[in-house]
Amino acid sequence: MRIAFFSWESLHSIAVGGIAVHVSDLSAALARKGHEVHVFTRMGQDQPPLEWVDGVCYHRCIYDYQQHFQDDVMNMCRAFVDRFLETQHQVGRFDIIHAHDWLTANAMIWLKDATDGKPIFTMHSTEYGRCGNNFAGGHSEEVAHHEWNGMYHAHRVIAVSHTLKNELQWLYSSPDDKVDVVYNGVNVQQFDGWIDSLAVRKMYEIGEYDPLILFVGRMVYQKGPDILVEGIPQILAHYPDAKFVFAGDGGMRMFIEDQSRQIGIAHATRFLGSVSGWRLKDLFKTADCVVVPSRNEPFGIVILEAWSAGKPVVASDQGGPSEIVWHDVNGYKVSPQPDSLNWGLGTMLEKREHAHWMGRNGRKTAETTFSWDHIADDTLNVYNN
Amino acid sequence: MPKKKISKSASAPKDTPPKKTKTTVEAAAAAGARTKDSAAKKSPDSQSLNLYSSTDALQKASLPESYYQTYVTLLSKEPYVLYAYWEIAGDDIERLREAIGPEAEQGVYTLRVYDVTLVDFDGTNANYWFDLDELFMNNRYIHVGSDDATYVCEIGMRLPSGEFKSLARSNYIRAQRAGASQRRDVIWKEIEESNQPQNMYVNIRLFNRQLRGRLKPRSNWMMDGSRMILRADDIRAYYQRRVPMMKIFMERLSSEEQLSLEKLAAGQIGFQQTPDTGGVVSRTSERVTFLGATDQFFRETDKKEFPFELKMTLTVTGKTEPDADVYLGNKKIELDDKGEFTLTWTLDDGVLPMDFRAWSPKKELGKTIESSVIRTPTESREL
Repeated sequence: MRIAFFSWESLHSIAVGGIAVHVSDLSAALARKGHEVHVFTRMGQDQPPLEWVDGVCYHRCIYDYQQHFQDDVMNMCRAFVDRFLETQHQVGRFDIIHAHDWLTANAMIWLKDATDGKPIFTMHSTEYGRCGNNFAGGHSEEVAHHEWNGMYHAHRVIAVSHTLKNELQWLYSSPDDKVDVVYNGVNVQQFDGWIDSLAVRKMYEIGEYDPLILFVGRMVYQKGPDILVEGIPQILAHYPDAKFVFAGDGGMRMFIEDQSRQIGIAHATRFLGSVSGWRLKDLFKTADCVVVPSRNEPFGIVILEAWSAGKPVVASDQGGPSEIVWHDVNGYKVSPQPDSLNWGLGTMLEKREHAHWMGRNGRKTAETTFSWDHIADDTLNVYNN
Repeated sequence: MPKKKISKSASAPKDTPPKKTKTTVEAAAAAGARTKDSAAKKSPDSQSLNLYSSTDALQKASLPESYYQTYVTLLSKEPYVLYAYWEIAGDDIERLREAIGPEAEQGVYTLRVYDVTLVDFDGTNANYWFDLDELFMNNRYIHVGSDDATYVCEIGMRLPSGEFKSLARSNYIRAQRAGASQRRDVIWKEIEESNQPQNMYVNIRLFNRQLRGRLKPRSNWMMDGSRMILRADDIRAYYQRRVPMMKIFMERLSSEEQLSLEKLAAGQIGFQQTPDTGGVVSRTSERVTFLGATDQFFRETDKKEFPFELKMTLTVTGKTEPDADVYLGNKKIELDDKGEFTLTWTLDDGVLPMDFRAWSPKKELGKTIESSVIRTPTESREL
């Protein structure tokens, strides 16, 4: 099967957010399964226009920069279409035309008329959700229209969670059988290997046997770090050594740090700011459990990362986490409130053996269900539908 | 003084106006008595009105001087210094004086400090104690001789005869240690062996609480009691929502078990939990039959009953000298006149240890016989 991916970002061109990981890992997994995958994307600085990476052919397209973002995106789509037709002329017809998010939706729509490839459209989030569950006017209205248009023209639509599917159905009135759910994946292998947990703990001035609870995410109201901080005193009453590590930056960070000082629990918290790469992986592997107190979470990739590191999660019962966390099997589902969260964390710290077991289960879940190879299988099912 | 019993709550208005500070406990006691008289005349309503209508913000903000209770509280200040504060309600002093009689006039109010380190204190068995007589204020610092010790104190009256009448006892405190800990050795964390199975499983009780009693433990290699061990396919199926977990679970059961579950679903047999025993009783049959908490006792009422039971008993006999002492484990065994004994057990599944020890009458000679009886798990099935 010859597959064309359209994405404005990827790990091997310009990486901006989560779509880059999704596109690069999924295309590599499809290539591993013997399919020919071409990724059409933007060109970063000093990058060749054509390159084979992990068995995937990356076409980096050049186009004129436009002041207005919408015009810029349309120009990008035109460049994609031009390169696509050129490639098709050389390698033969494509079976699948797969666009990611609204930015590349128009390329898919235009090519739908020009070729006989099957148009597939993946929605990673909605403009409504990105605006904090609000209908905004102006630019957002245009974006929402692009989303609707892409979904209307696509043969199949892929949503990354059932929550998102429901959202798409009531926002854009798409039929139930048109939208499939294919979860995000995680690269489990990158969390393999041993680390010196003590050294990591020393780096952040945390005792050897202190329970370490990790929060990873942007410091914004949506992610609910304030809920966690509010509940810390209760946990410290039972586990005075417990340490709470906050990895992430955001507008709420100063407020959260102030809050922890005011409550008088600053000694038990570590605010690391933005952490990535091996530092983040070390933190995942060192932590006793990972907490996701989000008020609204479209998917929650942090849960998959925690599982890959073999750690159980305490996640709020909202959106994505409510679907992927299997309560009492690979994590606890709680409400996004301090008391409920504390129940989860307290149980996690009290039943250490059970928590380890849940962490192992999480790793198994990530390996069996959320590895990119399995996600690629699910995606192929959608292609063949 | 009018001789009437007034309960503490009635005689202790919380909001009487503050009095002058008294210099001795006797004076305080007299004041307490006076307050009680005056309080008895005023109604509680007017009292509370007084407090809330007062415009003196400072008076509002300050703590009351007295709570009209009898208590003493001990705190640890430094390794060799404790701090105690106390209060004696006027009523209690009156009551004490009444109980003692005229001898009370010569009694001395005393704070008695006990060292009760490593003692289960009952009032008399302290390691040592000392009295502090000069109770000018309602608090004082106490200098003690040893650090890292447990202290408790009592407030009361010491009579000329030396008898001590206690009014209140304080909390127990441990004085701080004056130096570094004596213990220098490294304390290792104990790591316990994991009891959790390595497999990923779900509890079947999550699907249906009533199913639990219907399942034979370990009848299926994928089952472990009430746990269903999950394979990779099961986990994927769960997340893809293609197959309900219940269906996967049904596939794991033997045909016989499936049949009875179908019956259960069809309403041919029904079960309900009995709250008192935790067992299961049949709902459909006319007589309520106790089916037991586990399948070990389970019998299906619809079937014809064919009684076939097997009981095993174990008899152990032994012989020794008539006056010898024979023990099984820690339990002594009675011998008859000839020095023989016979023991009988009901033999259940499992291991029964048989460790006998025998001693000659003067404990000169001893002998031990060790063995055990194992009964393998009993399996019964229908032909």
